[in-house]
Amino acid sequence: MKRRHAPATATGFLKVFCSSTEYDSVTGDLLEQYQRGRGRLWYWRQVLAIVFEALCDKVIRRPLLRTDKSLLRKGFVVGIVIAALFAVALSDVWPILIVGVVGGVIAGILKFGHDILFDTDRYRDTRNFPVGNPTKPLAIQHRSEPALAFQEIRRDEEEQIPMHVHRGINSTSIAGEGLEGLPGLLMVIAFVFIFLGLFMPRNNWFGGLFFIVEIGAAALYILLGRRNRKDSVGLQKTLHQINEPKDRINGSPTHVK
Amino acid sequence: MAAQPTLSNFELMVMLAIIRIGDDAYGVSISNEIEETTGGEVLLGSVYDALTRLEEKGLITSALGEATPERGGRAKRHFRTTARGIRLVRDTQKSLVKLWKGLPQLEGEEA
Repeated sequence: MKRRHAPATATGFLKVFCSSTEYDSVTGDLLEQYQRGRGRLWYWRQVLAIVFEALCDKVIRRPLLRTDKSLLRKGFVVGIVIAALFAVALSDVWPILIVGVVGGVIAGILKFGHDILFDTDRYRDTRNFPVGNPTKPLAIQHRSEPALAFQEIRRDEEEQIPMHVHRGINSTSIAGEGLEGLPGLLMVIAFVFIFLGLFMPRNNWFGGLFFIVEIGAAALYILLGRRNRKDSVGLQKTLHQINEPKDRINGSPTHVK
Repeated sequence: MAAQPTLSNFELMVMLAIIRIGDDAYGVSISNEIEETTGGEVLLGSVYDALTRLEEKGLITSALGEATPERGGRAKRHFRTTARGIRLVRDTQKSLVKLWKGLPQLEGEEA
């Protein structure tokens, strides 16, 4: 059967917005469907929906204050956001720049600072995590016992990957979550610059200068995102090797058919 | 005791699709199952979004599967329900059945 080429730009969008683990499985699924006769329009629609979901996930659902939920810090963040809105409303260059830089740094520290200061082993934990016991087979149930499906207690429930590890592996998207340490901080700052660039007047020398900074920030954003994905691919391979014996899902307790 | 997580309508559909499919539950098969059952188009992104949420709630687990040429050499991510997920689906089913019972509108009678 002749293979069709999926729209490369759309796939590129996925690469930018999805984590490497998600990217592999999502792109694989989309390609599979595409090879089975789905159209380019369908492919694009799916990609745009995935990108939208990814952005919503990063912007709305993930808390900015991951660990410290004190009212003071929350109030501080809200204050920064309000100040940024005022600055944009005033359309003056300096307030936007100052609020952008200060806000970006503070947001970055709040979002990633904890990992830098207290949780530096998080990534190492992820690499070493044995994913249950690789030598211990999963509880395998048989397809021919659908009646037992709802009654079986899965032995591997206790062996689930802890949530922070799961997030560390899975959510390494360019949008920020999962990017540890300084790169994450830099990416947040770069993102703020890119965002503020939308409101920046281009008709004076400062606007031109900011435009150059914005381009630099965009380049930084992309480069750091690539590096992060590269790291994540390595991590994924390691985990895949660890998982090898139990990745073959031979059965599931949950068949109702 | 930890609070019992709740399932949205779509999450419940995804859970049931995983249960129905069994071994081969991954993105495409899950969305196909829901499409065939509901008759409407399902966005793969929505399915993955729901799967991520369910995994975060500890109701399903995932593992990398085989890569095929059709998928451009990319691995499938297989999903399956945990015991907790099955219990929650069963509880949801019980609740829905209770709510369902004795509804005249749904038994063909006048409201």
